[in-house]
Amino acid sequence: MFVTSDPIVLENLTKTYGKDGFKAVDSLNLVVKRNQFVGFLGPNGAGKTTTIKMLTNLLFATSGKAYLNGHDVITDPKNALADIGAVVETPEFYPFLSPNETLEYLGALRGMSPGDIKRRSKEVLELVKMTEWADTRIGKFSKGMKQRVAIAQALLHEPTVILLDEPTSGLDPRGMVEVREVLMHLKQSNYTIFMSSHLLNEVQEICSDVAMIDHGRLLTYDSVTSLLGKIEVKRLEVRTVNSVWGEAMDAARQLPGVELLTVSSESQFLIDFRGGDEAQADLLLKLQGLGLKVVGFKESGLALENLYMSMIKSSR
Amino acid sequence: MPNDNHQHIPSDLKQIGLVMRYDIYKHLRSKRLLSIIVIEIAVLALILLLPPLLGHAYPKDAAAFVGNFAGFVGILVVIGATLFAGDAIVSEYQNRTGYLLFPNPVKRWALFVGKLFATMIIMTLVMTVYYAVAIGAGIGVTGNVSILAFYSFLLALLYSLACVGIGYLLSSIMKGATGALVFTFAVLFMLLPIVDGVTSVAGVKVDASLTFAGGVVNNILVSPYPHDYSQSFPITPTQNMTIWNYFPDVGISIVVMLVYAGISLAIALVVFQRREMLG
Repeated sequence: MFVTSDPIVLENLTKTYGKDGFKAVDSLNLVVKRNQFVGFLGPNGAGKTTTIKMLTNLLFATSGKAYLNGHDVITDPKNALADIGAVVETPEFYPFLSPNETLEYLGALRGMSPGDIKRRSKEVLELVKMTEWADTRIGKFSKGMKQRVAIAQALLHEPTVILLDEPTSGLDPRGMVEVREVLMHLKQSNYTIFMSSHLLNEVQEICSDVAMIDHGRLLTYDSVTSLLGKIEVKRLEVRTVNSVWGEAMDAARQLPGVELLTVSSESQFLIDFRGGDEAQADLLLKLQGLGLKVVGFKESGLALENLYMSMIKSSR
Repeated sequence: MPNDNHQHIPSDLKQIGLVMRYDIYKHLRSKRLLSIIVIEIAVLALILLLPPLLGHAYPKDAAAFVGNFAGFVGILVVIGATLFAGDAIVSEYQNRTGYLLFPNPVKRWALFVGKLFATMIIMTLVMTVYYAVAIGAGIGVTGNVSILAFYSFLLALLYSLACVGIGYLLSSIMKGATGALVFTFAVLFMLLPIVDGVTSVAGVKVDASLTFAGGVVNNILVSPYPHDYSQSFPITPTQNMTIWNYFPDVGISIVVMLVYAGISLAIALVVFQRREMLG
């Protein structure tokens, strides 16, 4: 059940393309509660961007409903979008305007007073580290700079809900770190954020909740903590100083919790392990007991990534 | 900390004004406005300087003097409609600026009307400069000003609106901005005038053609207003060739231009409101 005060509500939202009726989004149901930071995960073509586009009046739903702060996006987009900040894809800007002029335009459209626009423009451009370029025409900006201005405009009017479509996409490593810092800042400021992303580490680090979709359908929606708790099998990477030989490996395969052991190089192997932290600590001791001089013993890949991969696999 | 912004959203009317203001700003900063002003100045200079340079006298009648200038108004309108309306809608999609603009609490029709007003203000500016110079020069040479010059100016604005309507229609339908610009220019500068020419040779008067109706802009300055006539020339001892010269009726032309503007803008608006941001 959802209540009208819920910031984002999707009810059987569906988007169909073409004569063959390809469903990019298929009866999607989702409720985002206030102050949640939801990561929206899925492979390419899963329907993430289509969903965000329908929420932002860029695409029109074939059927179903989408509500933002209790207002129907399809029938009342003006009120639905009043309290929303959005960055969809990498938007282009009017090249003849500077960031300050762009923010002035968008702020005025959103009903901000000139004084507020000036104050907030300074703050948001500072936040995205674009103060130096505030009065330069955007036509000359790189993609990374445009993405930062895009984030600035989304925050300008201090909306209660922020919709982000792969906000770090196309940025260089430094740009990604900077945008992630901005997102962490937003997380602490009580915004409700719905962010699609390919980057699982980003989602695991920043988001409070995760919604996974594939083929336009919701696979799972839960808190990050709860999802991580559901992960039963983790992959461990073990590195030794001595070569790994057949006898020790055969013995290691018989150890409790070891589901699969794969030798990846002369001094390294991978274990798919079922068990908690205590059992994992025991495993290390037992491996050393087999004569392996272990110098590296860590989880390989992200826990969320493992879950994601298993869920995507089983949905296909 | 976030705010609740619902209480602050401006009215549709205020947002139309804002969209218009920034679209005018776009035109003022673009090279397109500069280009059309340069063309305008060059044409005005040629029309003013050529007669004395070639040893011809200026017309002594104020309306006929402005009539010399009005001959170019049709072309100026087509250039203006192409530059300022041809990609007004499609550019938001092709240049991806729609991703920035559409997720705002603004109704699509308000964006459309704001853009249209901006285009018409720029077109009016271009026409006003042109007619101001022509009428001003007419006063200087003939010492008179004819009311017909003002009628011609008003008809030029109506013709501009109709041509802008065609530009908006094509801009809302086409996928690419360049295609929309080229197609707008081709329709207004070649396609419709060719239809006018062919039908004229065939002895058919096509009142419904926009470019034919647009001829009223300079014909209004001819006193008395010209009437249709035909001329026959012998091409063989037994055969004559007849050429028809048709002139648009003022009343019908006004209706035709209004209908073109109304229908094309209405269709353009409907298409724009339904058009999705794909890709």
